[in-house]
Amino acid sequence: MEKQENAVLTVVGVNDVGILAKTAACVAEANGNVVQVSQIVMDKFFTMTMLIDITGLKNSIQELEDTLMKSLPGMEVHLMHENIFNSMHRI
Amino acid sequence: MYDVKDIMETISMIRDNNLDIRTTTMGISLIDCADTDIDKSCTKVYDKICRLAGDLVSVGEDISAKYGIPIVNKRVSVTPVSMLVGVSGGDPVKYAKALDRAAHTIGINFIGGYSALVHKGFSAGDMELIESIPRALAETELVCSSVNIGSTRAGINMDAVKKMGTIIRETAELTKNDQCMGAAKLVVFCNAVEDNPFMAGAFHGTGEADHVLSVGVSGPGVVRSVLAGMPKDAPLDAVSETIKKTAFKITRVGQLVGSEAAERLNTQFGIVDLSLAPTPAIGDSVAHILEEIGLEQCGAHGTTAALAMLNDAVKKGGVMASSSVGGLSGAFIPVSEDAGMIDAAREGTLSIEKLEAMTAVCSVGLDMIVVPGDTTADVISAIIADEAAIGMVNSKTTAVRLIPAIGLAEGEELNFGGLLGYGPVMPLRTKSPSVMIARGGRIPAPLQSLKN
Repeated sequence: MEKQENAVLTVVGVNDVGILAKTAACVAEANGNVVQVSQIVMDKFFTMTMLIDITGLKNSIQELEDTLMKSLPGMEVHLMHENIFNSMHRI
Repeated sequence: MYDVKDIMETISMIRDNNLDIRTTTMGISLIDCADTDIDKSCTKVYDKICRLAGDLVSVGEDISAKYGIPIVNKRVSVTPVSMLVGVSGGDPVKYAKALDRAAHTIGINFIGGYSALVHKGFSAGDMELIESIPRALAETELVCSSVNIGSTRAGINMDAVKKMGTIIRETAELTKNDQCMGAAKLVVFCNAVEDNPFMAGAFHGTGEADHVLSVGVSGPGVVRSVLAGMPKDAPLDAVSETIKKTAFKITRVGQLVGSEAAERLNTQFGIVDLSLAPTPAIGDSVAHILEEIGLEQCGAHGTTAALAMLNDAVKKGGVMASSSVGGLSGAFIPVSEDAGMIDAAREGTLSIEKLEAMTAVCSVGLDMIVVPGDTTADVISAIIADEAAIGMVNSKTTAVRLIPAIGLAEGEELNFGGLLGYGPVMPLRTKSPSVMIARGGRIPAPLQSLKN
C-alpha cells in the first residue's frame, strides 16, 4: 500500500458564511481527503487548520493552494506538506 | 494533529521573517574530465555538469512548492579548476567559459570552483589559473573564483598573498564599468572548507564523493524576530538558549529539503550549512540581530562579544538538529549584503578594524567590503595576510572579499544589485606595508600547544 502523505492547510481571516464549505469543496474536487479539521472563531476572526490526505491528489499542492486562494478571496491561505512541521517541531 | 501555535510559527517564519533555503548546491567532481587536450577537457566538463545537475533547478522549484519555503539559489561547485589546467595546459579561461556555458544551460545562479589551493606552494596549473582570474571573471557572468593561501597546518604562503593583492586589483579594474563586479566573485581563503555551498567561495573538494548535494539555510530575520519577542532584561544565557532553539528549527528544514533534493537528483546528501546569511532586504540582517541583543548600532563596543555568542549558539542548535552539519556554519558578516551593516558603515560606526575583530569569532571573514579605488595591491595583500593570520592561529576559516571601487573614493558607493547588495567605500590605513609584502616566502605554521 502506498504510504499516506498529508498536507496541512491553514485559513485565517475575517469570518464569513461558508468558508469551511468552500474549502472542503475545493479539497474534494482535487481528490484530497480531509483527515482532521480544527476551527475557531474569535473576535470575528476565523482560524482553521485542516489535515488533508494528499496521496491521491489530482494535481500538485501548489495548484490546490492556488485554487483555494481564488475561491477564498481576502483570506490568508497556506498549504504545506506536513513534513516541514514534523521536521521543525518534533524531535 | 499539529499544534496550531507550531503551525503558525512555521508560517510566520517563512512569510514574515524571510526564512528560506538560501542555496541548494550540487558539488561535482571534474577529476574524470581531465584531458591533455584542453578543448576535449572543456567539452567533458560541460557535459558532466549538464548531465548531473540538469534537473537541479526544476527539482528545487518542486520542493519549494511542496513545502511552501523559498529556495533562493541553485548552484554548482566543481573541483578546483587548477587541477584540470595542470593536466591540459592551455588558456584556463577556456574552462571558465565552459563552466559559464553549463551554468547558463541548466539555469543556475552561480558556479564556483575556478579555484586553486596554494597554501603551501604552487603546483602545475596553479599560477596559470591565478593569473587568468581577472580575465575569467570579466569575460564570464556566473563563474566564481577562490584561492586558498593559508592553513593552520601549512602556514601562510606569502608569495600567493602578494600575488592575490595584484589579482584583486586587476579583477576590479577589468570590470570597472560593471561596478567592479569581478572582485565580488573572488574570495581569498585561509583554511578553506571542501564542502561549502555558499558563493563565491564554493568548490568541490578532492576528498568529496563524485557528486553530492548540499544546502545552505538562512534566517537572520527569524532569529531577530524571536529575540524581539524577549524582554530587554533577559540574561544573555537565556538569549543564547533562544537562538539555539531557533537555529535548531531552521536547520531541520535544511536537512529536510537537502535530503529530499538529493534523493530526487539521484545523488548523495552532503551537508547542511547553517549559516545566518543576510540579504540587503529589510528584516534579513545579522547586524539587526546584534542590535536586538542590545547594541545601539552594529560596530559599537560589545559587537564582538554579541557576535561570538550568536555564532556559537547557532552552531550548537544546528549540530543537535542534523548529523551532517558542515560548510562554514555560523554567522556571515558581508557588509554590502546586510542592511544593518550598510547603515553602520555609512555612519562610520562600523570600521574595517572592528570587522577584523568580528571575523575572529564568526564564521568567515572580511566579506563584501568596498575599499577606495586607489588602494594599492600591497595594502590589499596586507589585509589578506592579517585576515589569514587570524584564521591560521584560531584554526578557523577566514576569507577576504574586497572590492576596490576603481575611480571612487571614501563617501561614494558601489551598487552590485540583487543579493550582492550595495555599500559605501570604507576608509583604510594608508601607511605602506610594501617591504613586508615584497619579502614573500612563507609564514610558518603556528604552534598548536602552549596556547595563551
